[in-house]
Amino acid sequence: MRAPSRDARRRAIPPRPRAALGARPRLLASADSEVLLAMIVALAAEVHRLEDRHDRLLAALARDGVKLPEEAGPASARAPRAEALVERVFRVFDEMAERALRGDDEPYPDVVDRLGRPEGP
Amino acid sequence: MRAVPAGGTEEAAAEAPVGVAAGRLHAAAPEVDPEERALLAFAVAFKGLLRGRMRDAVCVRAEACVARGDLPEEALTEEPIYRWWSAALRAQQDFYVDVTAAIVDRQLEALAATARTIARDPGPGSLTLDPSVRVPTYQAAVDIHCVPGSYFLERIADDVGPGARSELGSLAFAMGRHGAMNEDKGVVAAEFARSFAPDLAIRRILDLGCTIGMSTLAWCDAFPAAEVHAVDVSAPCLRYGHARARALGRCVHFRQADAEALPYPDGSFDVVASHILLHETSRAALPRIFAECHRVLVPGGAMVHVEVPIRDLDPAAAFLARWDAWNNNEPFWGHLAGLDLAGLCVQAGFPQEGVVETVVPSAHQKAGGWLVLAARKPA
Repeated sequence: MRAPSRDARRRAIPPRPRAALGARPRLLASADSEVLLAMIVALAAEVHRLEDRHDRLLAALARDGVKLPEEAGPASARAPRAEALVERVFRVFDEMAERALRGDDEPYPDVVDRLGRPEGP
Repeated sequence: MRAVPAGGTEEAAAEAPVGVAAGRLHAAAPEVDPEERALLAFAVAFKGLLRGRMRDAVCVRAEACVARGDLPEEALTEEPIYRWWSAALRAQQDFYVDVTAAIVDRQLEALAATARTIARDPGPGSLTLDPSVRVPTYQAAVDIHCVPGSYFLERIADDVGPGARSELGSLAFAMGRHGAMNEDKGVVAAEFARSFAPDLAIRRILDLGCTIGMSTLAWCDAFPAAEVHAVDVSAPCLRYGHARARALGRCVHFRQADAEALPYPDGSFDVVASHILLHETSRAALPRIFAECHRVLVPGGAMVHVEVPIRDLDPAAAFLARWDAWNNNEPFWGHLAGLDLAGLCVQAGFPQEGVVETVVPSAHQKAGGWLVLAARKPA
């Protein structure tokens, strides 16, 4: 009798639970937006994983003496890739933070109104 | 100086910017491949954004709410920046928990086999499991830290999965700021104990709610001649912790036990410690835990609990400090902030004048330091 395959053994292990016990808080105005945000975070991580794989392949080629095009960039430039990706994908969060830090929250119609008043600035 | 395991894995962890190096932290640890490490690096970079400028901005808005006389609980939760920050923080938490769980999942049987082998081989320390120990209701009410299955999930014989995930998760969560092996709380507690009770000969130490013993090992290093014991209610974490301690060359006696009913005779230990255990218990459990600490201490012994510094904060900071209580399955966190902990120590038998509650700096880079609650049993 053949021993069960590795896949068969794995199938015998009950799947790990995916939902933590405890009701999920609702943080955005729409629960649907939170679902989409979770997907975006996961997709951005996948992009980084692929970038990282690409970098490792380039590094392996360089080690083997393959001349790489300039745009491949030196290894030293790859270190902050994850941070740079986060900054690009979640740029809007940085924008929110900047506005909040400088107190830039006067509604635009109020600015229009203020500038139109005779006694205004 | 602490022993470094073969392969210099502690140095590898120290160099890893995400707290988790590719490869293996120690012989009992899960292997992290470069792609998995890339996912963790993303999680840490994302957290860096949320815990950096975005949190600063949320703090400014919270302070503005308080300055206007508004309750942050009401006013801030209407502000988009707070809502998006919270939602993103929760999404980040769910993401890295899932990544670390998947890393462990793909090698679950191999990890259990390794831990079994390490436990069978001659080596320092011991592991005593007691299947009659029940998961306390305060741990069973929700999955703490939103980790599905929490510390107690057992899917195969001798499962160590929750312990292995806990190690990877803690390192990624702390972003390397709590030490290469996440030992910061233990280092702080041991140093505090030494100065708090300079006359005490520390020969036997008990760590309550040790999980996988990340803090426990710091006690081994601080007091190499002492006998170190550690208890937890989670069998998977204890199995992993025992294998981990042996793999890292430390001697710890792990035992499955509830901190409310310790299986040790009166006067067994010179020091009883815990590391962020208290906020994961309950209002009803705390007096019983303190009473057990008092009972198992020798006369003159010291109790040292290290906690997250969530007390005595201004209203804005207090609101943000409670984020985890509301959004990260830490149901007792907020209550702990308002409790008279010194009073509970006195109620447990510790003299009022010997109770100390203070915030001490991290031994590494953890911002805000740690709250230490300490008391001495009369000699």
